[in-house]
Amino acid sequence: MPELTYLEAINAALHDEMDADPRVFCLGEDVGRQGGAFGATKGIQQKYGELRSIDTPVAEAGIAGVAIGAAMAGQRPVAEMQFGDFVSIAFDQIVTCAAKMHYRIGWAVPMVVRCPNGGGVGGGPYHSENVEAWFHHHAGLKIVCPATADDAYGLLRASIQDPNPVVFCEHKFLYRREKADVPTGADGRIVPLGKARVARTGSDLSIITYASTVRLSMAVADTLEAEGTSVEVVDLRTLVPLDREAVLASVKKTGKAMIVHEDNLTGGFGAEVAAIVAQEAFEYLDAPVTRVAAIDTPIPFTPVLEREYLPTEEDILRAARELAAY
Amino acid sequence: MTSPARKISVVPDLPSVEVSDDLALDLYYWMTLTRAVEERALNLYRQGKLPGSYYTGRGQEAIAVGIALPLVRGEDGDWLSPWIRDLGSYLVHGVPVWRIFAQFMGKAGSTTRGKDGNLHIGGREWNIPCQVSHMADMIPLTVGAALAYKQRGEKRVAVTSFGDAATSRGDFHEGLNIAAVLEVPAVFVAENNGWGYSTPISKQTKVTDLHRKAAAYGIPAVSVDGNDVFAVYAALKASVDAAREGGGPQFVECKTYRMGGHAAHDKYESYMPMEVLAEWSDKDPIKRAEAILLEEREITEARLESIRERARDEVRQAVEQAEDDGYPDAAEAHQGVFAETAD
Repeated sequence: MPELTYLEAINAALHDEMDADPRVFCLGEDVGRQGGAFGATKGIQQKYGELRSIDTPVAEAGIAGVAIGAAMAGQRPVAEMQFGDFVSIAFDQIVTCAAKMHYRIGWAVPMVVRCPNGGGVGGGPYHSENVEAWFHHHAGLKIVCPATADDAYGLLRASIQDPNPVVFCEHKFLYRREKADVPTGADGRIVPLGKARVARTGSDLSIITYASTVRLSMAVADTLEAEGTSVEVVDLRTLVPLDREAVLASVKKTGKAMIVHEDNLTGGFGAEVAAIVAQEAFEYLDAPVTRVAAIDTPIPFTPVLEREYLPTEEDILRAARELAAY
Repeated sequence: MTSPARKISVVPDLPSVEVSDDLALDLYYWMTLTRAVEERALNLYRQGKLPGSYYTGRGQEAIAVGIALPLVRGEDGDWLSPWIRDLGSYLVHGVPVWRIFAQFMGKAGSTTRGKDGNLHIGGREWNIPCQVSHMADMIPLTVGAALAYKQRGEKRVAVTSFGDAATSRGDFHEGLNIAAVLEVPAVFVAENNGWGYSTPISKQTKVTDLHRKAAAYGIPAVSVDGNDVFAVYAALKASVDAAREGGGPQFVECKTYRMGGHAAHDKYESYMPMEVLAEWSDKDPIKRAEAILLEEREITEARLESIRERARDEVRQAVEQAEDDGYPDAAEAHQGVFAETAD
């Protein structure tokens, strides 16, 4: 079994779905000959030809709209936004056309929009955005946020097979930092959408998180273990559908809930989780629901500012210690 | 009693197209039916029987019908994404009349089960996607459908229509550009009716001959008299054939005039020059088709009247059926956000 990075796992998932289903194709800026700005679509055009690996003009709304039309006409497009930030240009197509088509006429739109997400890579305000909350408010879109190489592979395959439009938020910081032995091809594991993963079991407090902050939360759990606090880490994997049962089961067990995400605080996904926990697990809570997230600013460029913006391991540790002591 | 086919040549760039008397009468029938549906619906709106607002394409029936008739109908046929003025396109491409009235009324039998209104009509069985209110959004979708047909090697085309104001939006430009680069079998129909709500085309664009915009993307384009149903049909037939045979995307501009307000509630008298309106009233596409049928093709008035009567009967029955139809259960509001299967 080969050790794959998160990015290689995405590439392998694309190859395996292209292989399994002739309707699957990739489109986006530089995805063809170049294999994408990050290499996620490497080797696909060479193997499957120009009709299934399409270099498009720089036109994100057009890319999304073309993907929607192709999906409705029976294909399984995987559209790449070169950076998740640029999906703002495609937002109208995704929200106006993709998300509402099935609700209105029962005609499915099976497509994936891959959004290289997140900061920590010195990308500045236009190459670092976390876009999941932009789409979360709108009904009709699935939102997937893998934290590990295994999940990047298994969730991408599940997203391509899903009959609905999926916003696939793959985290750039994790591209080369997350690695695992990922079985591929006939042995490849599909990870169903809507099933959270208990990344670490614990009994004193629950950290509910996803994507890049899963690894930070795991490190915090290690540190607190040595201090005698047992932390449970729940990796949501997908925001829509949300595994409410997994969240509530964990919080009801530990009695303390902390939500951690890299996206900024206000209107972030953590607010939704906090509301669910407050409403449905109130009688189990021993402490206020806590959130750790980025500050409410655009994402600044220079390292000292970007570090100030992002939630760090230290931020999570400090908040977790306070919550444990409450 | 079929007389020899007439060859219609609208533009020197396109091959001439045969229009038999039967086909000419078909075009007339669909235009007549379109107008009968819209007139009835407008009355129902004024009587307070249709929720929301009401949009008509009066005076643009030749385009709505002429676009759709050259296409292959059905789920495995050609993709057609008409805009808000093209009720006739929906009729020709297969949507039953009563379901259109049910749509206007918000009944269970509407193509959206009451979830959307007016001409936001669609369904896989007719290969009609459900248009959205956002101008030009359906252009990239149409390019995507055409791409799918090309990828699978199917000889199908994808056609969409839109108004002059839609050419101001980014999705028009992104869609046409991608269509040209990918050389997909898409046909774009720009209906130049001179108005975007209360804004005249002179304030919409400096290039008021819309077919000239296609040149910027390297797409072959023609401009036709949109009130001449034979010209529209011939231009579309030739363009659709070219796209189907691998000629890449095509663009047809149909020049016409909006014979009233943006919607039924719009007080257009305050901004539209009445003398221009009167001038275009004389160019009414149905009257013009009648004149050609009677004088050039020597069809009898009795035969035309029987077609008009057939249209009136269909509308009467359709309205009854839609009125008898129930409203959707309130539970319907919760259903269908996600698909269980794509097939």
